[in-house]
Amino acid sequence: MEQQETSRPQYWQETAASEVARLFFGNPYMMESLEDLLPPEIDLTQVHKVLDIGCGTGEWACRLAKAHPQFHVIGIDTSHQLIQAAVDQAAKEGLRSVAFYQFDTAQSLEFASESFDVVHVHSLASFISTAMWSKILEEMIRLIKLNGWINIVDYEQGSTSSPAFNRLSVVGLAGVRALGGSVSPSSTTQGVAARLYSFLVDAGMIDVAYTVHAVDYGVNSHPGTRQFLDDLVTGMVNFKPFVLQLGLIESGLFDRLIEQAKEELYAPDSCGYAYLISAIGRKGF
Amino acid sequence: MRHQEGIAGMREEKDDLPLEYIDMRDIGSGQLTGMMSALQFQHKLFLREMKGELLPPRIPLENVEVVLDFICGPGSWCVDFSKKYPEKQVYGVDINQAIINHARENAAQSHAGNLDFIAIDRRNPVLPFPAHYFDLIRLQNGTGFFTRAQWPRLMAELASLLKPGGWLNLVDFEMGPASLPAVERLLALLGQILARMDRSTAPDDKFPITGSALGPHRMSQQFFTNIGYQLYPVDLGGWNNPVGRAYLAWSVVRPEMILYLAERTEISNPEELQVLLHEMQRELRQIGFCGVGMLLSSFGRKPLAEESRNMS
Repeated sequence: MEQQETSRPQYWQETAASEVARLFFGNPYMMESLEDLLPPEIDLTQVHKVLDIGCGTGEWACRLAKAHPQFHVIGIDTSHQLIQAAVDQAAKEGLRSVAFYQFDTAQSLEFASESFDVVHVHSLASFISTAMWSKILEEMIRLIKLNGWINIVDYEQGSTSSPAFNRLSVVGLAGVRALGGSVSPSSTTQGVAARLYSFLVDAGMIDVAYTVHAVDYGVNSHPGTRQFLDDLVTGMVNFKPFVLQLGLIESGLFDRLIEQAKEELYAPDSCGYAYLISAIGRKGF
Repeated sequence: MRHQEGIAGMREEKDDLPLEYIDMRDIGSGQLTGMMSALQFQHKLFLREMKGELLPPRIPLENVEVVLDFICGPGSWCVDFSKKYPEKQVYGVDINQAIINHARENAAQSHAGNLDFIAIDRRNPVLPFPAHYFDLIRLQNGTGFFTRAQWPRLMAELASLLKPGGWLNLVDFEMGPASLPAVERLLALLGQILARMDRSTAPDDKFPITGSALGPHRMSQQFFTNIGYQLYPVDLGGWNNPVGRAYLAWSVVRPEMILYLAERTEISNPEELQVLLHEMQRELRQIGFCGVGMLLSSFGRKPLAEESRNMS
């Protein structure tokens, strides 16, 4: 049985906490921090079909479908629950040009080769097992048409004025590492976001580029920041079982740090940020 | 080999200056000129990333007459500001006489406006101005310069030099993630060094985070009002960005600086570091290199006399 498991093409092998992560990262505030849904290098007049892999609750896909009703957008995710939320969201907004499907991590994707103009992945990277990267890119490149684009977006924690939050981030990062989601053996950053660009270069894509954006954590910075901070703390709380199971922190201390982080992040003089890196590459001849 | 001599030469001084007084720009003989070029280069990069804004746009400049740039380095900001606002009086102050000499030369060459440079004693860096003298004080890279223990006293001094209603602007660069192992390893070492030198705010002392995010909090502790900040992401990699790569190699992970500080703090050894620095140079030539950082510019206003009375 085990033999059979490993012989299947585990293209989309996920680590244990990936669902929590996609909920956490697929936040409207992240989309707003990105400024553009698709990088300006992509000529939107040439775009017809777009695939969003690991679409979570469909935040990005719905926004894209709304902004460009002429696109045909497909979002896929491994979680039945998240796909249901995405379908509900699209129905609520009356979006007809977007569709969502659940897919099986053990299978290669059931789309014909060269069937999309753009394949987008947002923050799936953080929690996908490191060894899978080249295989995933291979599969993404298979799916895009000649001259089509791959766009990968990921997140890396910066610094904040909250010592409790900074400590929790370090614990969280140790958790990500233990679960196999870090590609950086030599530093204390997760390292995936900064490597997206080189993944695309190494995969032989052309016109490879990236842009970096700030996700502002300051409670009074933008109208949506407070809600984002709520979600950020909830995301950390959701991650608690994983870091406890890994023995990275004691439960009581975790709870105290969460309370302290809330107080510090919601203080009027709070300040902090994360990085969003968006990398693109085009499939050449 | 010259590096080795430079470090050996500095050893005599080793117990002379405590770690908190090291001027990281002025280390090793013959390094200063190169460092001045690096700092002028840094000014151009920062200005590019801040879209040419010399100050956060939310600081109103109509009533600003007297300006201080504390730790002004070679005076690039002072020169640009005084050219743009020739009617305002600008003072650039630094703790290094040689750097101030550079700044004066730069100013003379560029026909700057109303501009004075003053060197102060680095062991006792008291600013030679009366209280309530400035409408605006700017401090760039202060979190790398001053220890965490020095900050409360520093903030109190800067606040006392400001007129009621005067503005403070703290500008700091913090390094973020990078894509290649030697750069990552060097950044981790730099984090440890900064922790040993009481400049780190990283919870695990392994990444060079120096507390730029504490700017607004430090201002609120002085009861400042109108506190805010702006973020400017800085790209240091990419195939078409030699400026960013050069900044990383010349300033963020400046070889002379990291060798000197590693020796002083007894973190890592010169041989290991030389190998890493060499490897970094190789990595920085790779097309696929990506590295990012963040410029954080925070600002606040000293309360007016009546605002202070209301608070107490």
